[in-house]
Amino acid sequence: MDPISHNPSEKQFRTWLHRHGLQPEAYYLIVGRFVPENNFETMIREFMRSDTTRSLAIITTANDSFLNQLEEKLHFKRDARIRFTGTVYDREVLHVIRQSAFAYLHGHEVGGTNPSLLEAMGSTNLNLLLDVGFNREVGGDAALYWNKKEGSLSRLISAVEALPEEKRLDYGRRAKERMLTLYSWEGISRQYEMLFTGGTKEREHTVDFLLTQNTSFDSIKREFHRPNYAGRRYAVARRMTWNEIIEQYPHQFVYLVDIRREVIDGKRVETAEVIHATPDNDDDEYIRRSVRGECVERYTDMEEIVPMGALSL
Amino acid sequence: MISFQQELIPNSSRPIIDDFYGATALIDTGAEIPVCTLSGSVLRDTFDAELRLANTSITGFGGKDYGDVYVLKSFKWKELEYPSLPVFVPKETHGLKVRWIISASMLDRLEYTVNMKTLRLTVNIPEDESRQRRLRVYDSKGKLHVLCDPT
Repeated sequence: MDPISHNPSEKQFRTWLHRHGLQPEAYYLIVGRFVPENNFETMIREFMRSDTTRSLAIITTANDSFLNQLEEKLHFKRDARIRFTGTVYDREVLHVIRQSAFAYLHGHEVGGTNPSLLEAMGSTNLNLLLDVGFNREVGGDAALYWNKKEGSLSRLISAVEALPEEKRLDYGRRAKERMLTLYSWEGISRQYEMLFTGGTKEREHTVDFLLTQNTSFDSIKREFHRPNYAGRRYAVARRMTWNEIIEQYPHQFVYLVDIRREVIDGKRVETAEVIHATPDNDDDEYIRRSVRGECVERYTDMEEIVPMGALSL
Repeated sequence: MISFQQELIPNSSRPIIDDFYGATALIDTGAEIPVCTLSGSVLRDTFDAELRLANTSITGFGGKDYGDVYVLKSFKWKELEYPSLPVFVPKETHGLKVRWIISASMLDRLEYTVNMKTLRLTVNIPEDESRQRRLRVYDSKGKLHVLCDPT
């Protein structure tokens, strides 16, 4: 028996693939409400123009009159690559479907930051987005863009078909990193904090509170300003480069939040904020917090990190 | 093919993953047994671990080490799943400052590339290999082994 079949989401994913005649990594994916403003007409027309051998899986709501209109205009039923698969409401299964797509097509042009796009950026390697302001704000340079002009999307599909696998994976890595940096609770709370304090107050923020609450803007603001705020507060920290951290906390374990990486002159430079430092490696409170993903533990002396005596391990 | 990547820490000549369950992890292609320096209570609370072998020993390049073997239930590493991952928790860390040692057995029969130029580990799971990796503890004539079972 295939061991993957023990995982219910994987099993349902395989059933979904089989039902629609699809193969992992061999389909483009669209997920969204089946309404004209999501530009299904452009995406399907352009996909039909492209010469890709991959399929187009469309996960969408039922709308027979719109479907018939599209069929009359495009005759997409003659194109065996196009598969309308209905809806998928199981989040785990949808996540696996997104992960296994060759690329995600996003044609939303109204409504601002779209949750479906955030999920796609966090799971699909290659994201091809309609070039409007809020899609570009989400995708940045970790996505590729098309417009509604004839040939734009079909040319982009041809281009990504020729993309080396390493490049495609690199887009995926950067997209996930972008979501973690800009759309995590940590990142969002930082933006709220800047808004509340006018960007002048040093950090003493309420990440724990925000991480555990699905709450409104007003309640976050109330909580932040409550004088006897009972949630855990991080120590006041300032952003430092890794070299500054090494200098300030030599031979210590440091616990970092908000690690950012950038490449300058071909060299990777990291910056982060230190919320705790200790020479001992048995501070259970912070170890537990790092395992929970609230911070990252590192030792500041690279020469000592794996001493020769430890090689016997 | 399913793949994933992990960033490696800069300023080190050794391949060390910078965020492996919130800590650093050395990739050691010479190691058979995964090693973890988290305490038993942290392992039990956060990884639902159970003690399999208490006060046992393993041998390596530098001699013999004593410690416990815990089994972590349902351990996940990105796309890989380890339904029961045995890890050696040494009594003495010899000054080791990484929390984890990722052993060759954890990556057995997978494709992996360590790129020290771009500071990235890439792991590919071949089509004929499962995402579930079954590691087992074997005690052969008093010598401990952790091997990856074919699935």
